[in-house]
Amino acid sequence: MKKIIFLLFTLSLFADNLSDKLRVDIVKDIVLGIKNSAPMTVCSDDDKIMKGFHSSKHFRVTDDCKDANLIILNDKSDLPKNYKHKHIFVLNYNLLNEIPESFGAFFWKKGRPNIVFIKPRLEKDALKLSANLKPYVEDKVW
Amino acid sequence: MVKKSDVFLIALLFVFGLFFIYLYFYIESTQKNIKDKIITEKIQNMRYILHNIEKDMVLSAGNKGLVKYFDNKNIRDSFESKLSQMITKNTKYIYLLFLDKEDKFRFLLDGSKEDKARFYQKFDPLKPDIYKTVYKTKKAYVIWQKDMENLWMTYLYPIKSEGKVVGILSVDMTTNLQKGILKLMEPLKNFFIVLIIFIFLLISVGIIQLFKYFITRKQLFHDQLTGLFNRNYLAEITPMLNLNNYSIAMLDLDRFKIINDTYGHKAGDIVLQDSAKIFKDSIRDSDILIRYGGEEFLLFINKRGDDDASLEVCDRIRHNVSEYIFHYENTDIVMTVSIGLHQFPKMEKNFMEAIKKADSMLYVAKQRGRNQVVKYDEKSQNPSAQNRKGIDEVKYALEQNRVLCHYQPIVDPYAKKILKYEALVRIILENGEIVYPGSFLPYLKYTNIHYKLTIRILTICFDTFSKNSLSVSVNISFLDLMNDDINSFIIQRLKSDRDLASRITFEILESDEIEDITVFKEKIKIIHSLGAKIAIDDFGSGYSNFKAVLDVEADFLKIDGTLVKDIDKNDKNFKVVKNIIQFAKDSEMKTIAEFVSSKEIYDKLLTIDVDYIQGFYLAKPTQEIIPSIIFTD
Repeated sequence: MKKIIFLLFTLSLFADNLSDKLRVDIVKDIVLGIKNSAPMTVCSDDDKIMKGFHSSKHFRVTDDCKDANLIILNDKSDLPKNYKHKHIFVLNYNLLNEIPESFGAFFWKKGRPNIVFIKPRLEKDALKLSANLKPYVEDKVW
Repeated sequence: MVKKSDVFLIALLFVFGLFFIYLYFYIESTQKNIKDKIITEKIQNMRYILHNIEKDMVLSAGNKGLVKYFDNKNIRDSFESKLSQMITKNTKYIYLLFLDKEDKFRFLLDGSKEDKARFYQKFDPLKPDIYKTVYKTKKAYVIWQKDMENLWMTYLYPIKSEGKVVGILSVDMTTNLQKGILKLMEPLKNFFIVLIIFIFLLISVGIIQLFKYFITRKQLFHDQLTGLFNRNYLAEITPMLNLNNYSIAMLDLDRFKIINDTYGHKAGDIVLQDSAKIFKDSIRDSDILIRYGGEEFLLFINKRGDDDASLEVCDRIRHNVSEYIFHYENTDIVMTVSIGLHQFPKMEKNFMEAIKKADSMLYVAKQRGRNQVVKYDEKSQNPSAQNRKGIDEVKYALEQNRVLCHYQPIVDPYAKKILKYEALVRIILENGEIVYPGSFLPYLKYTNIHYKLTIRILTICFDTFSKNSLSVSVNISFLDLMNDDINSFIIQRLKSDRDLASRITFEILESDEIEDITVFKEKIKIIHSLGAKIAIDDFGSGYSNFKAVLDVEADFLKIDGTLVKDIDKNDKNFKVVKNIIQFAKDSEMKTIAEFVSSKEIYDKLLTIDVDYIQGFYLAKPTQEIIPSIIFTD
């Protein structure tokens, strides 16, 4: 939790320019904090995240979202056709509404980085969160 | 030299520089104050508006509570519309937050025109503790943001109902306001920066000038060859020097001239440099060492402990020099130094008198065989009667090449031709006045200057007469002959030019105190062996020692002028002169009568068969050598 807060705080300091690496680190920490029955294979339409994730030793990264079980999405149009059995994490709060299958989001609100997980969707996806991510869990999308 | 006004100008520029630096920081501080004032003003206004909104909200919500009250979209729209009126280019976001039971902050209202939040949407503030503090303290709080998405400041205003905080109105201010203030101050700030740079450039130029001044000053006061202080420095410190605190020592490198003559000036320079280093290494920082002349050094020894401490310093210097082997190319050179010491210079009338005493002791050290320290003892011969001015004049004349010789013919009256010339020393004062030896020679007797002057006169005569075939008589004292430097110089020059040697006569004063006749005779023998001649000068004055004159086998007897000058009127003097001439003839010596100023004296001398005549009647001493004399009869 403290690490996430620290990253969020640091990210805010460099929001305009140096945020990319920190943003990738936060998302990476989020991914690491999600517990799934199968090992995570991640795919994203965000080039910077993909680039940052390639060095990770904790999960696999794939450029082809067909092979991924976790999709990190910036733009709804990038959603692959067959995504029904995949976990979707979005980078925009509104996408949580637009993509009911998405279980959480990382986004900017009033210049501050925010994280949200939707409890029923986590349960539906059979995903569990590490303790540091639990304070960000919401019952629904408001 | 830097003028006082220049120093003042540099100081003034420096003060200006400091003033402008102060001004710059003052502007910075003023800028901050202005900024704070603007912010305070802005916050006051905001607080007033937010207070009204708070009242409106609390009254309207009543017992419902804010969450339930704003659950109604129409009510939300109404309040958000009010809040949005506060949005300006400086105020980016304004929203109402609520802390739920799970300690999560949630949006109840959002009057922002962009990035609008939904009702009850969770909000993760960066510093949630501060937000919670507002809840606890019920007081407004300002958070200064650091470069956070164009946000500069967040103002948290607590919404209170029945003494409890039920929500927080958060207002995010953009950096535009800060930028606006800074922009306002920028031209003035830039002006002062340019001004400070300009002033600093001027100060830099001033410092460079000051630096150059110190370099020039160093060059002015330091001898370039040895790096020691020079006489300019001595002149500078003289008024400030307290002689109570110092002993004075005069140091002179022994036989230095030989080094120069044998190995050349480059070797001489190396010896001087190394010697200076030895001197410096042998003294303390509080002592003052000055290169006083060519190979002459003046040392002010800061008094330490007992009176003999300065003697120890001098002896250490003497010892260190004698132990040191000077190297020039492949040659090892051994040097010694003679030192004259005055331990109590304050006893003297003045500074120069003290130096002169030390110089006298140096001379004694040289006379006693060199490589020794001689300290001034009041009970010893008292050279204080010497005339300081005379010594200084000769010293400066030697340094500035203002020593010359005039030549007076010595005539053979029978052959009516010039036999030879007597070289008579003159010095020219700085004002051009020519000074005769009677004005300065008596005062030089016990000083080091005396033998330096003798060497200079010999050099002038040898150089002049080596270029012609004429003969010359040079005056020299017994003490000069006893001086090793002079002796060596004469031998070296005459050995190398035997023709010149045969035309040189050394006139030795008969009245000189010949302390050791055996040594004196040996010196004369050497001179004779080189082909030069000896004349006994001023014979007949004092208690003439006929035996000594015979012993030295002089070639000429020069009859004392005081006997000759009134020979035409004074019968006693006539008889003395007649007898001297007879004695000389019997002893196979030629006689010379000087001070012949009239035809009467001249004629009278011819009646007693004097060999040669010298005097104004025939010719006065002149700088140019008179080639011949016209005899009118």
